[in-house]
Parts: sequence; C-alpha cells; structure tokens
Amino acid sequence: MRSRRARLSLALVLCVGCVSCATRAALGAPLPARSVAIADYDIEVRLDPDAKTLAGRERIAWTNPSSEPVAELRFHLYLNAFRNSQSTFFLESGGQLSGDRAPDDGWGWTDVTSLRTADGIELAGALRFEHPDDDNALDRTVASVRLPEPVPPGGRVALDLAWTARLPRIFARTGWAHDYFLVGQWFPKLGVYEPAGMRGRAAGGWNCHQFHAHSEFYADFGRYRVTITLPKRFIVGATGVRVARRENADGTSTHVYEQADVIDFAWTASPHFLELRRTFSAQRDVTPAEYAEAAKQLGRPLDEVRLCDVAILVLLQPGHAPQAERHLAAAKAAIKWFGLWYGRYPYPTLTVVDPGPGGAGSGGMEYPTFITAGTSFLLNRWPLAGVRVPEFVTVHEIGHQFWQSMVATNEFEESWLDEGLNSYSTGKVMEKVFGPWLVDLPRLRLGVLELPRLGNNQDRVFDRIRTPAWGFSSSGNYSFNSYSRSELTLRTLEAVAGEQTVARALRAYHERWRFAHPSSDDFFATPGLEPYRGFFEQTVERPGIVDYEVASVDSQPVAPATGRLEIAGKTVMVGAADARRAASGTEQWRSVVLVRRRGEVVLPTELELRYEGGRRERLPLRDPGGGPWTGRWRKVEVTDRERVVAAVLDPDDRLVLDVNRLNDGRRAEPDGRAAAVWGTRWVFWLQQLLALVGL
Amino acid sequence: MTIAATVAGLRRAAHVPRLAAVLWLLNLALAAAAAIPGWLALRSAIGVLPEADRLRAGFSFLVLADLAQQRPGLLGGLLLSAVGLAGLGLLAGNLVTGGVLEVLLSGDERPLGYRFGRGACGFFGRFLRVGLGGLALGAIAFVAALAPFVLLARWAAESSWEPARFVNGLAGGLVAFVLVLLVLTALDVARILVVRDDARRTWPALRSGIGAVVRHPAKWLGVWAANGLLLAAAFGVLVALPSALRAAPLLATVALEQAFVLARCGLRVALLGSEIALVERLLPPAQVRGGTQAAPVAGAAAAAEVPASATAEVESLTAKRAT
Repeated sequence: MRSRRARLSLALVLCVGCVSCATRAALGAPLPARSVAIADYDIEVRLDPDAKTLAGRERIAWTNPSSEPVAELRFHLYLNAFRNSQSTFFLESGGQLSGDRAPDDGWGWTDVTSLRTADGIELAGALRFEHPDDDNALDRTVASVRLPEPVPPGGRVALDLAWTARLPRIFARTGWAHDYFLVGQWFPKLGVYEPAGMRGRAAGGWNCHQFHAHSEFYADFGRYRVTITLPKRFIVGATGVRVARRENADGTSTHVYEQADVIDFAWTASPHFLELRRTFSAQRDVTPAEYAEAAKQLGRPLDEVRLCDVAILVLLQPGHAPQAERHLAAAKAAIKWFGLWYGRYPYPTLTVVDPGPGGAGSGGMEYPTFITAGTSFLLNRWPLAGVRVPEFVTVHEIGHQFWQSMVATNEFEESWLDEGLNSYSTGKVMEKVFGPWLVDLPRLRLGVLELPRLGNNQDRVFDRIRTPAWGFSSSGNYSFNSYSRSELTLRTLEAVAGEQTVARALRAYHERWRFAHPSSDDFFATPGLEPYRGFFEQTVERPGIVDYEVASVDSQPVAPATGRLEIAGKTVMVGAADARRAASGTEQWRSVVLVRRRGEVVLPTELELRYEGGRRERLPLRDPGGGPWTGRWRKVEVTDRERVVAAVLDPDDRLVLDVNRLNDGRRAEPDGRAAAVWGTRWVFWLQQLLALVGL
Repeated sequence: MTIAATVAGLRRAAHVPRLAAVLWLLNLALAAAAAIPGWLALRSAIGVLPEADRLRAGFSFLVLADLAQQRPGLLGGLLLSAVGLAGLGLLAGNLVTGGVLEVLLSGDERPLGYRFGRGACGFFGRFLRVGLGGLALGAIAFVAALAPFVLLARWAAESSWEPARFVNGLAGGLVAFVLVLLVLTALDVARILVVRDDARRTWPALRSGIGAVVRHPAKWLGVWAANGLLLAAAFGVLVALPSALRAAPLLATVALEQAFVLARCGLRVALLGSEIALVERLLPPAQVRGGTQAAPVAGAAAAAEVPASATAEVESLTAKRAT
C-alpha cells in the first residue's frame, strides 16, 4: 500500500517538477536559472534507529573557484558540536538553547574513518582540527586536510570519505527524540573557499567557521544525490526530489533524493508522520490581480513575476492534525508572496516538517527545500487557535529559502543579512495574508510589528547589527540585533525611502545575488539603496538608537502691547485695559514646543501640532540646508488664533526603530481619561486580590 | 446535604444583607487606599502623552513596554503595593471573618456594627493563630501532595505523548487548587468552632476542622463548588456585557464592577453561612453529641430551615456563650 502510494507520490512530484521546469524555461526573467556548482555530494547513509547512529560514505567533488591553486580543504564536522561540553557550541550556549536544555545522555559526534583521493591516497590521518573563531583547541567542528597536489584554478578534485556518526538527542537543531529523527548538519561538508575580492577579501582563503550557538550556515552551491537506508516503517522527508524508493530484503527501505543548486541537505524520519501533499499552483493560487499588483510595485513586466508550481509535502504529527490546513496555507502564502516580491521559488518541491514530541529543539529550522515548523497541540483549537505561531514559523523558515538558501549570505559573520531580511519579509507576508495580529485572542492582541518593537529600548546602544554571530554582548543582543532590530531598520527604511523603493531594491538585490554569496556592502550597493548609505551607516554599522522626544508643550496668550507705543505715526500711551479692549476678538496664542533627539541616529521626521479646535498642522524638521534635522534639541514656536494643545513627532508612527514611542508626543495639559480607565481597573483587580486573601 | 447547606447559607446572607455591604465597603476602602497612589502616579506618567490614549481602547503591550522604560519605578511600585495590600488583606481577613461569624452566630439585639466589631476584635488573635497553624500544616500537605507531580514532571517532559507535560502540570494545578480549598475550608471550620464555642485554645478547633474536612471532603467541596458556580455566574454577567462595558461611560463600568464585588462579598457571607450549617450537622456541640444538652444549637435543626429558625439557633448559641 505504502509502496504504491510512494510511486504515485513520486509521479506527482516529477510531474510537478516538469511543469515547474517547463514554466520556468518559458519565463523571461533576469533571475539566474542555475547556480555555479562548486561542491557536489553523492552520499550513501544508513540509519540505525536503535543505536541512533549513522554510517555514511560520500564522494565530494570540489571545483576551485579562485585564480590561485588551493592546497588545503576545510570541512565542517558539525555533529561534533554535541561531542562534549568542551565544544565551542556548548561553551557558548551553556548547553541550553531557546529554553531547551541538553540532556545528560544525548551526546552526538562524528568520526571520519577514511578520506581518500580519487587516486586512493588515504588522508584521514592528516586531518587536523581547526578553531578559526576562538582559542578553543578542543573544538572539533572544523577540520582541514592538506592535499597531495594543490587544486589548480578552475580545477576539480574528488574525495571519497567514510564516516560514522551518533546523532545527539535533540535539544538544538538536530538529532533524535524517541523515534523522530531530524538529521541536519550531519555529513562532512566543505566550507567556502572565497577568492580574493569576494565579500571584500584581500586574499583568497577558506571561510569555514566553527559551529556556534547562534549560527551554522555558509556553504557553496552544488548538486546533491543522497541515498538513505533505514527500517521501512519510517516515513522519510528530505531536501530535493525523491527519485527512487525500494524495499530491501533486510526489512529496510532505501530512498534516493536529488537536488541541484542547493547549499545543504537535511532529512527527517519518523514512523508517525501524517503525510499531506498539495501542489502550489502558479495559476490557481495566484490571482491575476496579485500578479498585476506585484508587477506594478516592482515595475516589471508580468512575465518576470510569474511563479512556478511547487509540490508541497507536510509531514505532520498526528496530534496536530487540526492544524494541517494552517501549515499548508502558510506554506502557500510564503511561496506566493516571497516569490512574487523577490523571485520565483525555483525548486520543484518543498517539505515542511512538524517536529515530534521532545523534538521541539529541531523546530523552526531552515534547510534547502526543507524546513521544520513549530507548534503545539494547545494551538489546535479555541481559545489558542488565534495564536498564529504555526503560520509565523512556517512563513519565516520558508523565507529562508530566499534569504540564506538562495541568496547565500554568511550567517556567521553577518547574520542580519538572512535573519534580518527574512524577519522583515516574514512580517510583510504575515500582515498581507493573516492580518496585523500575531496573537489575536479575546481582549489580548499582539501585532506582528509590535513583537520586535517590544525588545527595543534605550539599552540597545552597546551592540551594532553588523557583528559576527558569536561577537554580541549576549544571546539576547544577538537575537535582537539579528532579527528584530534588522526588521525594524528595514521598516524604517520604508518610511525614509518609500515602500516601493525598498521593494524594488530587494528584488534587484535578490536577482543579483541569487545563488551567490553577497556581503552587507553588496547589499548597501544595490541599485536604489545607494542614496541610503548614510542610513545604513547609522543603523547597521553603528550601535546608536533612534529616540525622538517632545519634551514640553507650552501655550500662552500673547499679551497685547502696552506702554508708550508708536501707532499710525503717533506716539500714544496704551494701558493694559485699553490694549485688551483693542485686541478683543483677535487674541493670539504663542505656543512653544521643545523637541529633543535623545538617540544618536538622525532620521527625517516631522512634527504634528494639534490645535485646540481640532486642526492639525505638520512641520517637517529640517536643518537650514534642507537635510534632516541634526540638532539635539529645538524649539518650535508658532503664534496662532488657536492654542496648541498637543505635539506629536512622527505622527504616522513610521519610524518604528524609535525606542520609545510614548515620548514622541506630549500634551500641554494632562488628560486623565486613560489613567482613569486603568486606575479604576486597578482598584477592581486589587479588590479581587483582597477577596482571594479572605476579605 | 450540600444543597441544603448552600441554601441555608444563602438565606443567612440574605437575612443580614448589610453584612455583605460592610465587607464590600471595607474591601473597597482598602483597595482604593492602595490603588490611589498608583492611579495618581499613572496619571502623572501618561496624562500628557497622547500615545498613551491607546490604553483607553484596551491593553497595549507596546505602551506597557515604553512605560516601563520611561517610568521604571512605576510598575514595580504597583506590584509592591499589590503585595503589601495582600499582606494587609490577610490580617484584615481575620478581622472581618471574626466580625462576620459573630454576626451570623450571635443573636443578641445589639446593632450589627457593634456585633461585627466585637467579633472582629474578640477573635482576631485566635484567628491569627488558627491561620498560622493552618499555613504550616497546609505547607506540609502541599509539599506532600505535589511531590509526585514534580517527580512525574521529568517523565512527562521526556514522554512521547506530547500532552503529558501539560496534563501533568494541569493535574498538579488541580490538586493544588483542591488542596488550597480544603485548607481554607479547614480554617473556616476551625474559626466557626472557635466562635461557636468561644474556644480560647485554637489547636483543638483546627484539629477538628481538619478532621471534618478530611472525613467529608466531598461535602465541603460541594458547598465551595456551589458557591463557585454562583460566583462564576456573576462573573459571566460581568464579562457578558462587554459591549455595554465598552460603550458605557466609565462610571457605568465601575458600577458594574462594584456590583460584582458586592455580589462576591455576599457570596463570601453565604459561604460562611453554608459552612456553619455543615459544621452544625457534622460537628454538633459536645453537649448534643453526648445527649445531655437539649438546647437547640445552630445547625442542629435542618440546615434548610427558614431564617426565623436560624435566628432561634443563634439566640441559643449566644445564650450558651453568655454562660
């Protein structure tokens, strides 16, 4: 039964793949169709689910992309991050990540047992462990080997490796929990050889970082063919297209997956998955109006924004069955809007994995054409169904297909380029498809954009966004800067440059760097973003904060002139009573608003004056030269028939990087209504507290 | 017996409606005294900030976060005042319960205020001792009852059944909740016995209270459950009028909230009345138990009897205490 279903599935996937490729070929677009394959992998692996071990063999074919000979190769051996408590990953994380603690019996590791050249020369004995990021000589997540012969420029070398591995018990990203396996960062994988000039490098060299608490992705593109053998009761999902499946006489089954133009390969296995298959149809799931809207926003012909069909496989936990459609809807929304905005999703398949019980630590992860979601059975139904975490996580991880997997930035050194751009894009998709609320419960709502803003405050002056992932002052500051602050920065850029400018620039950036490795400088140099270099210098390159404040609002009646005055050519004495009488009906108010810039960042903003009669007036705050106001304080004075009762900076709330929205406005006189609402509520709550303790 | 005791309690509360009003006034006075400084501080903090107007429409995480940043001491101060009020409430609870029980159990002709004050002052020290004893015993019971759930937590965390951790936590929470109810009931029973028998020694009363609750947990919990259902119904009314709450002026909202608090105070009196009825059923005075005293004591008659009967009962109790 399963075999027949599998054959049907394969046929469907291949069919969808054909449609996708055919469609893609017909589409005119500046998107690169293929990557330059630098590192190709042909892997055979066998899972022993009882021992939690892998036994693998792989052939790596590597092409030297530089113009100089390369005599050394560097590999990631990332399962060794879980080898012991002395790894850099453990020292940085303290054995705890995102609330999950490393179990005592959950160690994982990998050992290369053989490493031969195509000529049969054994090099395993020459493997040396490297620690380029710190002084931890005990870390074994990076290894190097010197080749018998340097690889000439443009030359290719093939190596055959054999290795064994034990998977860690899941607490972070990869491993096993009961009979659920999420196998990521599992095979010896090459780092990236960066030629001189790439990402600002002065000289060519390997970029192969250790496995850190907060970063793990940077790899070259290539073709993967992976053959997985495991007991046949397991349902398998993996990167790419399953091209073969066979059952073996020993009770195992073998699954063969292939995918080109990707930087990594991950797979999962569990006997309990519910398999849900749907097709994202570029015709049915995107309306003509949506195509037209995207084309208009980007200023592109319709052909350039057309999408391809994608076969979606959701591997869901049985306990989460009521959330099946939520995951599928989120996956389709992500393929659609990321595709329309940045460039079509080019692969024929996408697999969404719902981690098994105990495997939450592997949730919310991204691998090429393969992501892990994150949810809980508590979100199945009312009252918590209004918590849109499953949608958010699914959209976010699919977003990484675009920002990190295709535009393959260096997560170690510039995490904001993938997490930040992706958080920004995720927020846009969430608002577009699911509305403004991330949490929408009775009497309790949390906006999509409120979440990142909650963490922004005056203490965020110590770290800058462009920092290596392990170089932040704390885990919290890594997260805030890489995700939230970067998202808020791009939203604020929309306020400064215009939404359309940012949308077009991101499209251009994606097209230019799809299947390549850009740096922050490459991003800043994107057509359309060049005028905002100063903006990025302030917000990305420096740790300053945005904090504008209305410090005071004062309105006083203008006293009519008295004393010895020259009026109509005559000198007259005017007393106070006479002056008041003369001015009756033409009284004027002089209002003074004191505006201050408490943060270091200078942004264009405007001040809204609110008059007593309800009239509103907006004044852009500028320097005499016409640029944004750069002073630390400024008095804005107006004389008018009406008095100013309030003044508000950034009245449309577009500078979302501002660390304190509350001080952006001020009234001349206090209004006690909001305090009354919460004051009476406070009394009521205290009364309930008293009742609880016996009164 | 549970229904009869509940009805008897409600009748007792209805018989002295001013008692609920006294409780409500005390509750309001204490809460307002603690809340007004916070209210003024909040007004001073947000009154001049237009962005804080969002709070008029409902809760805002963003405003709260910015407020915590702008006035770092404000939220801490509010929390501190709540903690202080809770401590004060614990003491005041002993005073008030003494007053309520004295009014419910005594039948003299003196004004309610006098009887309430007499009970509050007369039993405060003894109730405090009962409370401390109950707290110590409750803590021991709490640790003993929850230990299995703590031990199960590790198993639940590693279980392949996803809801295991949640179910274990929920079960632990339920057990803790029931335990708290039972401890509170035992304290109430002990206090009733202290007032009824005018007992100077509190330990025997507490022991009797615990014994009665342990022997008949369903009866006591039934009375609490019935009371809880009525409270839930009142809360339902409060919540079911959200449109009225939102559209109505602030004063109407406050009036509705205070009506709820008043109902809650009435139910507190009714609960004590129900517990008195149960005490008289399950723990009749020693003379009656020994069959040597024919005096009709409170609750010895059917708990569901009319208020006139209850008055007669409390009169006899008063007479007994006077001797």
